[in-house]
Formats: sequence, structure tokens, C-alpha cells
Amino acid sequence: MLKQFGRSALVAVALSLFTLVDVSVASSPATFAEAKALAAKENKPLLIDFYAVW
Amino acid sequence: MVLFKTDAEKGEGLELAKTHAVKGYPTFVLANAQGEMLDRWSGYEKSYFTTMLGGAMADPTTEAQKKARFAKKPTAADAEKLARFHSTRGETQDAIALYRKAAELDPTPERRLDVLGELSEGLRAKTVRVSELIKERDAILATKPTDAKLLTNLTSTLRFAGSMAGTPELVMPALAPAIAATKGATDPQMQSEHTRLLIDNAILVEKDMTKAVTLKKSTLPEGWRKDAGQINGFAWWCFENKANLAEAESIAKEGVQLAPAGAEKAMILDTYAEILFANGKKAEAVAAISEAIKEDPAKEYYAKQKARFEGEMSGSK
Repeated sequence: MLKQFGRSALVAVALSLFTLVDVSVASSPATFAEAKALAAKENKPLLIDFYAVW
Repeated sequence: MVLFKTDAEKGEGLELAKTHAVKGYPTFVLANAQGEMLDRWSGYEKSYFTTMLGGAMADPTTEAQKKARFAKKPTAADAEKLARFHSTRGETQDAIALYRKAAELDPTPERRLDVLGELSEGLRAKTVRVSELIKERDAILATKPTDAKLLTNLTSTLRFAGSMAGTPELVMPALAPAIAATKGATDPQMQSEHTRLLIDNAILVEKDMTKAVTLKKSTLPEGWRKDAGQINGFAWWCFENKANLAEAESIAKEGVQLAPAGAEKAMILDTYAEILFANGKKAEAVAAISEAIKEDPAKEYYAKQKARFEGEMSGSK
């Protein structure tokens, strides 16, 4: 779990620092449907991070 | 931007990965607010990620719009993007065709390296012949490249391709120029690449395994003999190169003692088992892999290993 959060935090920091884009990580949606709905509601792009834990 | 992270091998992520044709991890898919794909890429190297994301945000057109734009006015940049989309979906032939188009429009060694990279994926999928790869490799080398980054990327790609095709000698013609380009490097990563190239050269060109083993040991950190992970890495390298197997066996045994119980111990037990088997100690190999199964019963791979060892033992009776 820590590994996954660590990766997402890194993605978020990278996004924030290098793109100055507001990244909604604190309220990261639990499901894809929620994520799509949030992106549509806020008229923001959606970045899907597909990972696997070995 | 909304970030949605999903484990592609569990729960909802499993189905989502199928619908998005995800073939490797990590894969990133950027969609607009309407859910239409704008861009996709694989790989987690930080500078690559930020470059890809920056490029994606700067061109918020859908794949269909990019295709239409390319059809109207072909550019190498668009060919590369479309190729990458196909590549990350495992559509290798389409990716190769578009990378070739990008190289035609912008004939640099870097573009040809993209073609070579995709041909390597094709080798893995068994849809590409080794001869096609050799042709591309030789075309790159004919330009007499001297750039260290290009040459180390080339040798990495050829190493991968060689392992896919069972022809490690694929990298040989690129070794001398890559060694020359990385000699005297001050960047630690390039220095490490230089040593790696010298190891390849010792194995493939000089056929001097003693030299290769010495060079390999020089890459290991101080105190590596007390680190199960480092021991596992070195012992596995010996196994893969069929070198120094007597020492590898005793070192792997030490690693088994050092490793904490569970998945880590199971991994080094698997390495130990492979080396024992290669050294003709088949019964001991089966015992070692049985221990691995006990340490990590969820990993099916170890059961398959045991079945393979036992199968080979009964086959040779």
C-alpha cells in the first residue's frame, strides 16, 4: 500500500512541479466512474495510472 | 487534472486495463473531460514522464483528430505519437509502420532506434524476424554514431532483442562504438553503462568469462556479500551466463540463510534451485524449490518450476 501511495504522490508532485496543474490527489476518486464524473464536472483532463504490485 | 490510479491486476483495474488494452506497467492514459483519449505512454522514468505529460497537455486533441491531422499533413512528430499509441496497446505491426514513417520524415538515428525498439517487441511477439532487426541495427551503425546516449540505448535495445530471440550476439557490432563513446564518462550512470558494455564484450567478443565475472563483481556495492538481494542478483547473473556456477552455488546458499522469511527467501531459493539443477544436483534443486513454495505459496511460478525440474528428471531417466 505504501509503495502505491508513494508512487501516486510522486506522480502528483511531478505533475504539480512540472506542469503547474492542479492535481486532485487528496480527493482521488475511489472508482473509475467517480473519476470520470469528477473530470466531467470540473471540465478537467483525467490521467489514469495503470500499475501493478509485484 | 484528475488523477485516477488503479491496480491493473485486481478488481476494477483488471477490466479497465482490458478495455484500455494496457500491455505493461506503468501505463498512463490521458483523457479529456469527455473521456476521449488524448495520449498514452508507458514507463516511469521521471524525465520521460514529465516530457510525455507536457507534450500531451500541449496537444489536447483526440487520437482521431491526430490521425486526421496526420493524414492531411504527415509529420514525424505525429507519426511518433500515433506509433506510441499502437505500441502501448500491443499493436506492434501498426507501431512499426508508423515509427518507420517517422524515420522516413525525419531520418535521424534516434528515429531509427524507435523502429528498432518496436521491432524488438515484435521479436517478443514472434511477429518479426531477426533479419529485420539486423537490417535496422546495421543501418543505424552505418551512420557511425558517436553519441553516448544513443549508443547505450541502442545496446540496451539489442540486449533485450537478443534475449527475446535467443541470439545474444545481436549486440556485438554495437559494442565497440558504445564502449568508445562511454569511455571516460563522468556521469555515474554512463560509467555504469560503460562497465556493463565491457562485461558484454568480455562474454561475447573476448570469450573471457573470468574477466566478465571480475568486472561484474566490480559493479557490486561494498558489503554485497551480506545482502541477500545483491547476492541473488549476482548468483542469477552467473546462472544466466552459465559462468562461475560453483561459486554462484555457494554464494546463493549464503543468500538463502540471510534472506528474511517469505517472498524474498523464496526468490533466492528459486535462484539457488536453478543453479543446483545446472550443476547436476537435481534432487537438491527440487528440495530448494519445495522450500520456495513453502515460503511463498501464493506464487504459482515456483510450483511450475518444481514441475519443470521433476519433468526433466523423469525425462532423462
